Amino acid sequence: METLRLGNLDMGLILLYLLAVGGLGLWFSRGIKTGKDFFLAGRSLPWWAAGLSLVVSDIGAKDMIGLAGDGYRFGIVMMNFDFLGCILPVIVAAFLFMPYLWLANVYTVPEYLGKRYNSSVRTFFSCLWVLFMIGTLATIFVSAAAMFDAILGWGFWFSVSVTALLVGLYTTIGGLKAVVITDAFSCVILIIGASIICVTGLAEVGGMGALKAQIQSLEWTEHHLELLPPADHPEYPWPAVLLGLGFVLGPAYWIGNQAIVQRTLGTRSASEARASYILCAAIKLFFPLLLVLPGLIGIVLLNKELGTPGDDWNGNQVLPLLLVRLLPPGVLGIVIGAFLAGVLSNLDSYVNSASTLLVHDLYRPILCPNASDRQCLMIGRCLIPIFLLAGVALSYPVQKGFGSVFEAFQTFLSFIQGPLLALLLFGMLTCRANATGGIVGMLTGVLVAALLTFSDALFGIEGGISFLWVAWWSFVVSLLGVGLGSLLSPAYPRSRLNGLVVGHPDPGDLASEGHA
Amino acid sequence: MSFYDALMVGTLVGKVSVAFVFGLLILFLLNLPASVCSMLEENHLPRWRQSRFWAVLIALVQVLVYLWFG
Repeated sequence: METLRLGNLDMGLILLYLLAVGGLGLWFSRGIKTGKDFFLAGRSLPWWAAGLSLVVSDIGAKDMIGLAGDGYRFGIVMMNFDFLGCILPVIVAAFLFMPYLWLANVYTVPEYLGKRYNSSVRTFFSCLWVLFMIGTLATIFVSAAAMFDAILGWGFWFSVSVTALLVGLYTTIGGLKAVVITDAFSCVILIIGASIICVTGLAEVGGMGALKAQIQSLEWTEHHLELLPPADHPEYPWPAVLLGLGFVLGPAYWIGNQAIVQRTLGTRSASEARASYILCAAIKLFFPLLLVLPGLIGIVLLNKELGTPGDDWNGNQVLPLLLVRLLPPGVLGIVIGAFLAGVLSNLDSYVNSASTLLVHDLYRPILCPNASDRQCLMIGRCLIPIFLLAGVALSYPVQKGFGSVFEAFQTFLSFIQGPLLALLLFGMLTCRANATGGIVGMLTGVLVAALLTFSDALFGIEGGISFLWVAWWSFVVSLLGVGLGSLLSPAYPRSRLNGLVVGHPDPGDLASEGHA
Repeated sequence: MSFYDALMVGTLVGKVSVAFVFGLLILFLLNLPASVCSMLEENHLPRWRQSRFWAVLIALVQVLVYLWFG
């Protein structure tokens, strides 16, 4: 593949970006004395920084690469991951769930589940989240390596090592505050870089009208310009998009994902927690366009080279090839800076949250109940390089096993998201849920997700079942499990549920009682 | 292309379903008591500084996006 040689200006811009991120990270690392400072930024984060950080914690390099490839393959239906899959649940979460999670005074989402159900539920989901986060780290490494390979000609292991080293150095010292502030800066760079790709790409193809006409002229792009493809679409039928993505995967991700929720728990008040979510939703109104449009531009500019997507088609080439084709020296430096911003902010968020999960849900309650705050801080810092190494080790099989990085990420997600959402919804919205229901719902949901995911091998269903349907049905079964299990066993006394169930009592009452 | 033409392209049932969901979200936001979602402290602020105002605006944009591009 053709690669670009970076000019002095490009290198200067990239260096400037790295110095700025490093400087910001170190500046905001000052004054970390307690575990709360490290894991929750001492609950001092401003809403705007948390909001910008939410955007880049969700959208990183894997999305830039993955969504461009899937945009080429499937079209604008991929924008639903940010519209139905983000804006809808984020707004609901901002008003209904985040104030309660903030006021519950927890460090992690499993910690809330532990308070609401029992310690088994907490431990189970912590373990699954930690595994999921290591998988996510691996997918981020693969995305980074694909980009560096395409643009700079770097080998896989060299790219992965450089990325891990960079992030490891600055995240171990920083803690959540440094992560969020550098994320906010990276978000701005990411928007600028993604906009440059779209503007130069559109100029090359002759504008939006020409892009649309050329896509419609191809045989294999019949549904590429439909946000909601027909119900018989093989990958993204609109009912599955609405039910699986909008009602299950999206809400579970934005209410239950520790890497997302943690920066909101670190804000100064419940009100600021909500404001950060609303800011994120506002940015997500235009962000998907910046991520999917390159894929559509790729159809016009790279169709002869990449051809019609088939089974063995590699979507991860689309964005790197576009960069090589479109961008002049100088501009390339900004875009690579944006890509680095995506990689670093995504990695630091997941590493930081994985460390928080392990310390607060496994180390402190199970392995070392008498651990001091200082010990937890030290363990949290030590775990960061360990998680990075685990992600590096897993990145090679992820690279070999999945056609699209984004698909890999969603497959990991669909395993636990349905059951997690069912437990959170039942637990937060009703007083009836209890530990028995939690365990039954959790196990049945994960089992159904596993059976459906491997339906191809287990039941001979040709092509398997879309991960969106897997998420939906595992959620439904899990919800039934929580309901039945809870109804067949005694309810918790109301006094045990204070501050854990919506309206029981109101957050305002809790705040006035000093729970916050 | 007029809004009516755009509405008729693609999956009409899908567009209407998604727009309906966002419509429900707007109704939910407009009727949610401030005490339930810890918003009492925002009540004295001008409307444009309240998170509820921005959330409704974002949901309205989504309704239009889905009706047009769905």
